[in-house]
Amino acid sequence: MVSKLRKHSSLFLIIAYSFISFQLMSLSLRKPEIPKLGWSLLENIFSPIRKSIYEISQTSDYVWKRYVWLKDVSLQKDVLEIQLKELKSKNLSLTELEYENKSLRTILDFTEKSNSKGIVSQVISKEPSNWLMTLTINKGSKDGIKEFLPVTDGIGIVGKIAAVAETTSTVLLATDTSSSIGVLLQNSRLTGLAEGTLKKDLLELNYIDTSSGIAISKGEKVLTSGMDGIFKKGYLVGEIVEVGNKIDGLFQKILVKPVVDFSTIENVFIITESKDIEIPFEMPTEQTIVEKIKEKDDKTIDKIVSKNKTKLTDSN
Amino acid sequence: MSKNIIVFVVFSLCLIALESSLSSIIFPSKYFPDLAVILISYISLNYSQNISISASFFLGLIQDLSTGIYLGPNSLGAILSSSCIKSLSKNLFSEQILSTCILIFIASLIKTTSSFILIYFFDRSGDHDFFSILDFIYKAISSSVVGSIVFLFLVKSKKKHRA
Repeated sequence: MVSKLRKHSSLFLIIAYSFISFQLMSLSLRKPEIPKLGWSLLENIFSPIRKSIYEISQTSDYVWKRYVWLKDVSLQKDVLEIQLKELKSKNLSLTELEYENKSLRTILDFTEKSNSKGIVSQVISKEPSNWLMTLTINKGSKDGIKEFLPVTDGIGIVGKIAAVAETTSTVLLATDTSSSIGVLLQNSRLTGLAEGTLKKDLLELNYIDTSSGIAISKGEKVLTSGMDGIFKKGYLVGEIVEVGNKIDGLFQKILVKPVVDFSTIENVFIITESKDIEIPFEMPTEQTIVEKIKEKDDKTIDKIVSKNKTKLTDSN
Repeated sequence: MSKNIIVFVVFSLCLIALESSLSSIIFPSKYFPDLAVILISYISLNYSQNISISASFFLGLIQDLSTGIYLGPNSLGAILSSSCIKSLSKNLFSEQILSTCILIFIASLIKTTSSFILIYFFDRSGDHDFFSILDFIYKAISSSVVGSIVFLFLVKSKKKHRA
């Protein structure tokens, strides 16, 4: 009997454990607090293990997100940096093209309006010296450039060609002290010479005869008069910014701000053939008319008063 | 012997804790491999039938206690799967990966199905619609894949140890 039991001990064991399992099942259904009690006991053992597993998983998640995943991010960053550089250089060239386009369009408009012919050239260097204000352009005698040809940027007068090499030329700027341009004031129709000053960005108007009593006002436009033999009549030079007191009773100190911005100039137009431009006379505004009438009235009143005064003294 | 029992008890507790903790982090708990089945398979293949049945019963009981609802279904499933592995291993060469994979798959399927049948028959009032045979198959597949990988490592380390 014992030997039989030993032989089939595993079978008996299976039956016994199965029986216990069934009993436990029925017990857990009848008394649900028993499995709950067991669970709470087991939970006390499990909770530290679970906590440490959770912490390990959180740490590994953190490491993954902060370091391993960031490897890809750094790669993406490199790619994006390259793309950014490419886009920046593209943007730079586009901006350059935009500026060039704008400047060339201005020159084109100028040639159409003034009905003049010439050569478009790029400024390749600027003379940094304080005493000589010149530009070097990339066109020379090979391209048909000659000395004393007028140079413009499409808006106003830049200067004239001072020296010509085979492939490059030097432009003497209007603001140079050795430069002088025959000019005409648009409203007052007075003529004179615009000469460069030591103040880099200003021209001085000389030899303007103000004895006729014609008033010169600020903001009046200054144009080429065509009397210097270089610049044809009617090209814009600048605007009067300062009108000084009369010196020697004949000439007045007048400063002109050129319309050309010499510091940013990039493209110029060398005029080879041109015609005089008709200068439109700007109608005086209502305010200036009133001021002039007032001035006249005051003078006549003064004259009458002085006449009466002399008459009274004579009678006395 | 008593030292082995203590080691087994501690290891079983850690295994069940690991299973219940990781099931919510890595996989959906439905398809998480049944680590108890892998351990049962290992014990059944390497120890005598009496020891493997007792160990399986104890392991199943811990699993039951960890759920806190029923006592018995997992322990019964564990006994049946253990005895099944023991009887099948006589006909299969257990050191081959494919055969261990099949053994664990069958053991897992027997354990989950028998547990379900026991719950179904005892607790008629409960809602058992959330159980499906497909879930059992998925669980068995994941258990067999993970189990075979664990077995591969164990076999390799055993060989190294012997050398």
